[in-house]
This record gives sequence, structure tokens and C-alpha cells, in this order.
Amino acid sequence: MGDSGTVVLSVKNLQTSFPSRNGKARAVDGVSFDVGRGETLGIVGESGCGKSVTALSIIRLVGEPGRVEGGEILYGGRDLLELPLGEMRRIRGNKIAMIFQEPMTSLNPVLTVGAQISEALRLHEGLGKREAMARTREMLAMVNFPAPEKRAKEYPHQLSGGMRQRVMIAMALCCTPDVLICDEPTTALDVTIQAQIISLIEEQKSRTGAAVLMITHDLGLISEMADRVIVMYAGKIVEEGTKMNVLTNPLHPYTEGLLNAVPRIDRDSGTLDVIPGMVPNLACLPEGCAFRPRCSRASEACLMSPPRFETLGSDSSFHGVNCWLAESAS
Amino acid sequence: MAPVDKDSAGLFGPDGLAVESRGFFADSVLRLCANRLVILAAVVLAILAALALFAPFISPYDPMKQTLADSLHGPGAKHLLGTDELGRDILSRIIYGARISLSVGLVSQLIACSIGVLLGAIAGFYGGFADTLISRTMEIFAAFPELLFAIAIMFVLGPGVINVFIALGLLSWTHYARLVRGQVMLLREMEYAQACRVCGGSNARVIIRHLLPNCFSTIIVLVTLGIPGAILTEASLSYIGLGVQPPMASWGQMISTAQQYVSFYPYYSVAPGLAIVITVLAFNIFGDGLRDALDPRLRR
Amino acid sequence: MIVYILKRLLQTIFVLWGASLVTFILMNVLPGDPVRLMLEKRATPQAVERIRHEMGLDKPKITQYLDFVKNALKLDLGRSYFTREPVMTALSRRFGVTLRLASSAYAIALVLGISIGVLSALQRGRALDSAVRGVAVLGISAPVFWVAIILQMVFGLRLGWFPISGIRSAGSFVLPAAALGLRHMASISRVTRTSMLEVISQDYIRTARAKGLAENAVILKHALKNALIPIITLAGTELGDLLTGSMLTEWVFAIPGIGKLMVDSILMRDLPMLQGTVLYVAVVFVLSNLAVDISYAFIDPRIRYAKSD
Repeated sequence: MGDSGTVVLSVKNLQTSFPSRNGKARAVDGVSFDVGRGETLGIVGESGCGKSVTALSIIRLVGEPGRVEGGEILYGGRDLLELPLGEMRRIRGNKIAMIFQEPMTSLNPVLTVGAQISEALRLHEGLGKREAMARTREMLAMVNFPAPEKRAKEYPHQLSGGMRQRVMIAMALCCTPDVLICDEPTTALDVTIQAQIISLIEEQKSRTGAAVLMITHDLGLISEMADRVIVMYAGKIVEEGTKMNVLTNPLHPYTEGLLNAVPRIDRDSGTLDVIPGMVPNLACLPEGCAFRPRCSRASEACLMSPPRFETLGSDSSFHGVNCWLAESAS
Repeated sequence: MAPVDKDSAGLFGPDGLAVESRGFFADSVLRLCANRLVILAAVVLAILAALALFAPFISPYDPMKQTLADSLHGPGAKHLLGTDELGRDILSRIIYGARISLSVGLVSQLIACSIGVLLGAIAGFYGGFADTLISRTMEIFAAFPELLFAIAIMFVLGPGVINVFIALGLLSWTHYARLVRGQVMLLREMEYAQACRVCGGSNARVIIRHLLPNCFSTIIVLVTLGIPGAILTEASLSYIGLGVQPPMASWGQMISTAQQYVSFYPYYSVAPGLAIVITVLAFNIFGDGLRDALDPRLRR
Repeated sequence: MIVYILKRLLQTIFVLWGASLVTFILMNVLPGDPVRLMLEKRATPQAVERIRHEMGLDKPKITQYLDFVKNALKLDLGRSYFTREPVMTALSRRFGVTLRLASSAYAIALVLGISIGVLSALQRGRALDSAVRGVAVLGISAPVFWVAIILQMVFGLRLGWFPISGIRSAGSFVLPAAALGLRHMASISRVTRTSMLEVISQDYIRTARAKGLAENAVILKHALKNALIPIITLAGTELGDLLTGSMLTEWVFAIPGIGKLMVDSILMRDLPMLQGTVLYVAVVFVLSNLAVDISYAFIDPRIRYAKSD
């Protein structure tokens, strides 16, 4: 567990929503967290829980018609949501970089990978064409690209999925960002390649000391990489804490459900537990606790009003939960 | 785990919005009606069809009746759109012209569609030599700009409405053949077609029962969007004197005649041209709307 | 890439052969005696026979076709029935005029069409977008020759800004090029808009923005190059329409180009001239499509490096 150093990025009460036929869908509803230098914060949840929208809100790239409606994103003493677009662009790809889920579609098919990496260098570091290409080759070598000289001139379709994700990593890291946001960086890859990509991200993190925001639905990845974990459901944080606390002593029934759905070698039960039902429609959430319809332990109280966020544990072993059950237990 | 509360779980579309389950047809009609412009186009087309069908009852004069004393009169109370060089009522001629344009559009596309679907299905289903032969033929047809080809055929066949049907039918079958060939090739390997063959269905049965219904909506869209092209080509042919012959009223041919009087009698050229624009525009808008409603994949 | 180009060349040769065959069949084999078409009903049987012999139409069809191809390869397309001028000479004399008209119209269509389409896509759903889409669908719905007449009426006769016929000055080309270009501008802007909308929703555009690129660079460098691929396909087929569309435009504006030659030969029933012109236009069309396909390879690396499959 890395000690969380100085806070680099601080998200406060973030609100992002999408208009829809049935009213406003609050994809991110009041999410707050900090990430420190050299720290890895994991954000987990099912598809549609708002974790990717959170990431895109941070770099202000939520796709139309979505809108960040409230909250603050503090970086370097300034609120990113208040910055003029030009200054925001100077931060994107430079101070805060992002790795996307789909290496197959996230690279431009008509530009060489070298051109796509050196573009960021020329933009943010003001390098000339040649210097940028030289740095690009260094970056490619750093992400274990064989024959970087030759491969820099290749196009994305000539590379495998794992290779393309390495290009994405090289592109994200070339300007040594303070914050690296990884949105499901390994989901689209083979298992063996996944391991390589993870160790590559780890390696680069310890080299540059960047804060890493690891967004995933893969609890295995979280247990391997994260220092702290946030569990999201229906746009809200339902549980938050150190990796140890959340993974070994889950307080929210949803976290418990997620953990039970992970196959484990040390349990010989033939079937996996699943969480019944589906992620609710964000435009018309159930009353009370959003998880209530799928919760096995729901009671009258859960129907009445949404639960409040309760914090337990000390600063060094923080644990918080958003559930009526935990409240009545304490 | 616990029983699911089905009411609140619900079903969600890919966009995360709740979708009610509706029939395919009802769903398409709903989507079509969502666009007011498309409705307007449909109304215009309905009016045009009524004009064409009931031309003898609607048109104020006999389109052939010449009154030389009244020639080249401007628009007025007696003749709403004026008269032509032979004193015939322009409005009546335009109403009768709708018959030519609409029937040329419809019939030529039906001919093209029949040829294209047949050849396309054969090429896609049997592959091999049949496919090579048909595909090469399509390539050669594609080597001729459409109007050039129509002109060449009309030159040989001679002018006349029937020949325009044939020429335009021969012209655009490749669009249908290409579509059906591709769809059939794609669907041929799909499980339900395989299953039908396993159960002993003949090839013709597989094509007719399973493959063509899958292409149906796309073909409807192609027909709707093919009609305006055919109407424009007919107008061009008639304009250069290869299409519908006088004294029959055709919009293209009216413009051709009107052109001689353009310097002192401009209305004459404007009216039939507007008739073409309105008709073709209505078909284009309606076809685009239909395409978006029936088959979002076709969106270009 | 070499393999790709060679394959396309081979295919082009095949299509050219097919074009010659179709032209020949249309003009010589289909029912309807071409000589009768030319001479109409007045001609005596003797005169018909004499001309059939002169034109080699009394030989077997196969021999006629082989002669036609052999001569065409030697760039000999026969002589005009009326003026006795070799068809090839007439064509090459008029080619320059048509080329001038078509290329100015094409330039108008491409430059305006692409820029309007891009703007419209970027302004999606706003007033400019609706206006552009409205004008575009209007543009593809109006017959070229009618637009030509209207332009003649307004800018030539009423306002007197440009000449309405002939090619005496550079200004003579303004109205014909506008009439011809408008329609193609409309369809190119439509395709550009859709293609652009599709491209800007792609993941790699988000990547480019996440890199911190300014919107101009995202659009011009990352989006447009991808969006060009379907535009080029259309531009290829548009070229054929442009050549035939120029036929009608030339006729309206009395411009002595290939199109007018063709319409004239139809009206005068000059079979050899028409046959030569049809073949000629088909060849130009096929070759321009070849050029388009080769230019793909320069824009889309997926084609450039594709294995020959």
C-alpha cells in the first residue's frame, strides 16, 4: 500500500447528467474523492454505473449531450471546470492523460503511430519534428516495443491489440503527466497481454510518480494495483476505503455481491453468485436506496429515503459506506 | 440472491433509455411520423398521386386543346399558369405531366427491381460462375454514366413512354442486384438459413422464405430513392427530345419548348421546372425519412 | 500497393473491353436498323444498301465488332456521316472546352461541397446545419438543365452580368459552371456531413482531444482525412454525372463541347459520331474511376498495405 502523498487531484461533489426522454439521467451524482501523488485509486462498478463518465468529466470530454452540471475538480490549485478551454487543452494530455478501453478504435487509422505520439510532444513540449520523433522512439522502447525505429512508421491496423495499447500508454505518458486516468485499460485484451500491460503501467507509475485513477469492473485488477478503492453504483459512491478494508470487509451489499461474483480458486462451490437484476435507468431511479430492488437485505428503511454516507475507521485505514444497514449496525 | 423486483428493473435500450417493445412495423411508422418534414413530403406525394390518377377530372382544360388566339398568355384568372405557344393551358399540361413522371418513376424502378433482385439473389446464393458473370456485367454497366446509357438506349429504341420505361429499368437494376447479392451472401451463412436447409428446404425456398424478407425494407427504400432519379432522367431525355413525344405533356419536354420563349415569357419555363423540383424533392425527403425509419444501418 | 494497382488496372482493361462491347451492341445489334434511323423514311432501298455497304454494315456482326475494336485501338472511331470529319478529330477539338467547363464545375463542387459539409456537421442541429441540408436536398432535386435556364434568365437576361451563350470570354463559363457545379456541390456536402458526423463520434477523435489538441487540429488533421474516404468514392461517380450533366449544360448555353456534339449527333442521327462519343465518354469515366481508386491508396493506409486478397 503506497502512502498517499500530497493530493494532486481533488474531485468535489461532481454532477454530470444526460438529458433523456424520461428526464435527466444523472450519470454522476455527487461524487467526491482525492488522489495523491504516487497513489493508485481504483473505481469499480458495473457498466453504466458512471465510472467512465466520471473520468471523462475530469478532462472535460463528456460527449454530447452530456453536461457537467456541478461540483469542482481541483488540480494545481485551480478548478478545471472553470478554466477557459485553451488552458484546459494545455492540461489535457500534458498534466492529465488518459488511456482508453478500446485500443482497436482509439488510434487514428490514417496516421502512423509515431505521428500520433509525437503530436502530443510537439504540442506540449514544443519539440521540433525531429526531436519529437526521437523522443517518440524512446517512449516506444520504454513500453517494450520491439524495433521502435521501424514500428513508429507503422499504422495502427498493422499492430496487435496489445501493441496498440502500448502505443496508447506511450502516448499518455510521453509528457510525464501528474495524473494518469486508465479507463478499463485491459478489458479488450487477452489475459497474458493484460498482465504485461498492468506491469507496464505499474512500472511507469513508479518511474514518474504519477497519480493513477484505475477505472475497471475487474476486482482482480483492483486487488493487484489499487491503494484505495471506490465502489460506484447508479452514479453514486456506495463504498470507499483502503483496498484491504473494502475487499476483505465489504460493508455494502453491492460490494459483497461484486466480490461473490468473482471466481476464486480457494472456493470449490460449483456456481458463481450473481447480482440479480440490472443497473437501473438513471433517469428514473427507484425511490430510497437505488440498489434496493436488487438487494437481498433490503428493509422498510431502504424504501423511505436515500442512505447517507457513513465513515468508519481512522485516517490511515479509512472506510466509508452508503447504506442504511451499515448505519443501523453502527 | 433475492428475488428481483421486475417492475423497477425494467428493460433498457442500448442508450440506457427505457424502450417499450413494439412491432417492427408500428415502430417504423412511429419513427417516420416523428419527422414533420417527412409527413409533409408524404402529403405532397399523395396530392401528386391524386392529380395523376384523376387528371381528367381535376385539370381545368383539355391539355391538348389548342386555342392559337390565346397563345403565350401570362398567368391570369382564366389560365392560372398561363398558356403555351399553341394556346394550351399550362396548368392542365402540368397535371397531365404528373402522370408521365410518376408512372415513369414507378414502372422503371419496378422493372429494375425485378431484374436486380433476381440476378442479385442468383449471384449471391450460388456464387461461383453465376456470381462472376453477373458481377462482371454489373461492373460494365457501372462503366457508363447513367444518362449516357439512357441516351444510347433511347436513341436505338426510339422515343416513347414505353421505351423510357425500358431504358430506365435497364439502367438501374445494378443498384438492386448489388444490394441483394451482398445481403444474400451475408445471410446465406446465418444460422436460420442453414437450419432451413438442414430441414430439407430447397434453395429457392430458402431464398424466398428467409433471405428476401430480410432485404425487403432496404429494397423499399431503394425504390423510393430510385424514383426521383428516374424522374430526373426522364425529364432530361424528354428535354433533349429522346423521351416522351409531343403532343403528350411531359415536364422535361415542356421546358425544352419553353426555352425558346425564355427572353419574353419566363413563366413558361419556371412552372414545369418547379413541378419537377417539388416532386423529386418530396420523393427524396420521404425516401430519406423512410430509410432512417426502416433501416438505420443504411444511413449514409 | 503495387498489387492493388495492378489488379485495378487489369479490371479496368476488362471493363473497357466490356464498354466497347456494350456500345457496339447498343448501336448495331439491338432491333432497329441504324441506317434507317439515320436516313428516316425518305430513303430509297438503294440508298440504304449503299450506305450499309459504305459503313461495313453488310458484313457479319462479329467482323463488324472486331473492326470496330481494331480501329478504336488505333484511335480511329470512324467518320461523321454528315461532315465526313473523323470522329476522333471532332472529339479532341471539343475536349478542351468540356474539360474547362467540367473542371471548373468540379472545383466549385469539391471545394464548396466539402467545406459546407464540414461546417454543417460541426454545427449539427443548429440553424446553419438545417439551412445547408435544405439547400442540399433542393440542389439534388432540381434538373441541371432547368437550373441552367433559370441562371440564364436571372443572371444573363435580367441582370445582364454574364453572357448566356457561347465561349467568347472567360465570363461565359461562370453560369454553366455554376449550374453544373450546384448539383454536385449539394451531393458532396451531404456525404461530407454524414461522413464527418460518423468520424467525429469515433474513439480516436476523443483520443485526439484528450491529447490536448485544439479543435481545428482535431477536425482538419484527425477527422477530415478519415472522412475523405467516402467523399472520394462519391467524387468518382460524380465525375461521370458531371460529364453527362455537362452534356445538357453545354446544350443550354450553346457551348461547343463534347456534350453538345453528342446532342447534336442525336438530333442529326449521326450514328458513327454518337457511337464514338458514347465510347469516348465511357472511357474517360472508367479512367477517372481508376484514378479515384488509386488515390484511395494514398489516403487510406489500410488499402496501401493490404495483402492481395
